[in-house]
Amino acid sequence: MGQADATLSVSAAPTPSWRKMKAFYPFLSLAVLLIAWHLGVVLFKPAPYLLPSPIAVANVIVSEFPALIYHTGITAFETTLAFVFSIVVAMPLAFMIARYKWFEETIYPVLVISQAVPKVALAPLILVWLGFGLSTKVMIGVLVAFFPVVISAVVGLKSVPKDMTYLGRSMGLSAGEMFRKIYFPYALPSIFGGLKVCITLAVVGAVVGEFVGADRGLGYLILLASGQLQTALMFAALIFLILIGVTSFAIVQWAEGRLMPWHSSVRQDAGH
Amino acid sequence: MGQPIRIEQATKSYNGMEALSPTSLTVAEGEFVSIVGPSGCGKSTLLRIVAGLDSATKGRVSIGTRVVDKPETDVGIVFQSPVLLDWRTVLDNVMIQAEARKLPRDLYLKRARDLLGAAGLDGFEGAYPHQLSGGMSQRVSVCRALVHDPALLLMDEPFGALDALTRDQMMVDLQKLWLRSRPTVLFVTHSVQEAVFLADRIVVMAPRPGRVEAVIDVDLPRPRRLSVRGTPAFNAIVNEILRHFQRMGVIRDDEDDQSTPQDAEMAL
Repeated sequence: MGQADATLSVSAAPTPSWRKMKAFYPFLSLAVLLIAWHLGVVLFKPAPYLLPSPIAVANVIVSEFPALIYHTGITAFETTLAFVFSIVVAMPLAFMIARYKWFEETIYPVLVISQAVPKVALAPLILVWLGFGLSTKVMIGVLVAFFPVVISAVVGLKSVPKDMTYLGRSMGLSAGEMFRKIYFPYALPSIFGGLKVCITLAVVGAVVGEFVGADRGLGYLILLASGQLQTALMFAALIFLILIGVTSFAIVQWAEGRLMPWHSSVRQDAGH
Repeated sequence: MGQPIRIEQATKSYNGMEALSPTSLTVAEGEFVSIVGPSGCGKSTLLRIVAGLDSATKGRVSIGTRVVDKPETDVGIVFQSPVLLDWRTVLDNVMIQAEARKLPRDLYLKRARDLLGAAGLDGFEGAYPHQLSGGMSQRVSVCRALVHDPALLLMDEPFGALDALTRDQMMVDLQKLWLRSRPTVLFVTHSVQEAVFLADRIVVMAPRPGRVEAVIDVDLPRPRRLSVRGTPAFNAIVNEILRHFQRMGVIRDDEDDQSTPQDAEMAL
């Protein structure tokens, strides 16, 4: 019995140094991956247009840095707009669905069916409608990314406990105050779950938009490099895409921590 | 100061099923009335009707001179779970009452701190609900129900989810807080002991359909101490209520002479 207790306490309370090590692990696996990649290239000597070495990619990043930054800025801007407009579209929809039964019954099924359409297949149509400009990329981004926000917000808004609504009504809160003071903050953790999915999908949408018709952005750069068999440049563009994805996700997560310090997904003490 | 409640022939049906048969009850201003009864006797329904959160199918309820036809706002409600807003600190959870009613913040900040102190929550004003124990959360909930000095305090099994020791402490604290401002109280509970300890009058309700079985006066001096539960006067009232439950068939004993109030209470 005493022995079992001892093992339990060891695994339940990791030492601080172990915790520091843990933050280091992802970099460790990344380093191993890079070394394996490099060794593979050195050993098997594939043609550079098939698989460039990580050093060749690094060289391209340095030599093409201004261009990469420019295209990254374009794609990041499109992603941000797609994210913002996804929220602008999704939140009122979610609110109406959660609030009005008739709206839920008429709109929700259509919304769900619309998600069965492969959005990527719609991209050429959007191009025809909106042209080669920014709006096409943002529109495709919104189409790809808004749905998870609707779902998560509806779930959050609908899970407000009955007693909490009684409390609000007994305090004489108006409908608007009920939303601001009770429904919205209650749903916020759930909404952020949706926002995290949304931001990663917004990147996908922006790139798809650039694939079907653009003269700038990382998607455009990848297509261009592909046409010229500049594989190292493609890898460089991919790395910057990953940076956009990871950074934007981190920003959403940071905002989550700032906005809801009370929540278990943010708290340190919540058991994992 | 409290307001009198008058319930006149109030009934409630759900899809033609009668949940509450015609019920009449008058509660004097500043009176503490406990409603005891088994599950399904319509006591929570009655409470919601008084709060204006649910409407009576027939009959009517008035508070003071006003007929209740929309959610009552001069009221504090304590639910079985604390229903604290996770995103607000303890103090802000209490202050939402003042915010919602647009009452002067400074004045009510002082009242809120004062109440929290009286409820033994000194130093927890800035804590979030997830940092509190069940008993502490429910104390915050009681403070929130009292901070705006409501005429009416409605409590729906507020201590039902707490352990026995915490419950004892909560009864004492509630009595103390209630004596400060004397709102009219409707206190719904499963626990006969709790009801007798707290109330001026006890309404015993019977199930299916919910109805008032008996109304019993509790003539024990205040403030009552926990030791009052050992006195013959206290136990006489407890036994009287339990006899009602036995007669209704809520509690069944194989051998009547071996039953004790405590056993019977457990059965509830």
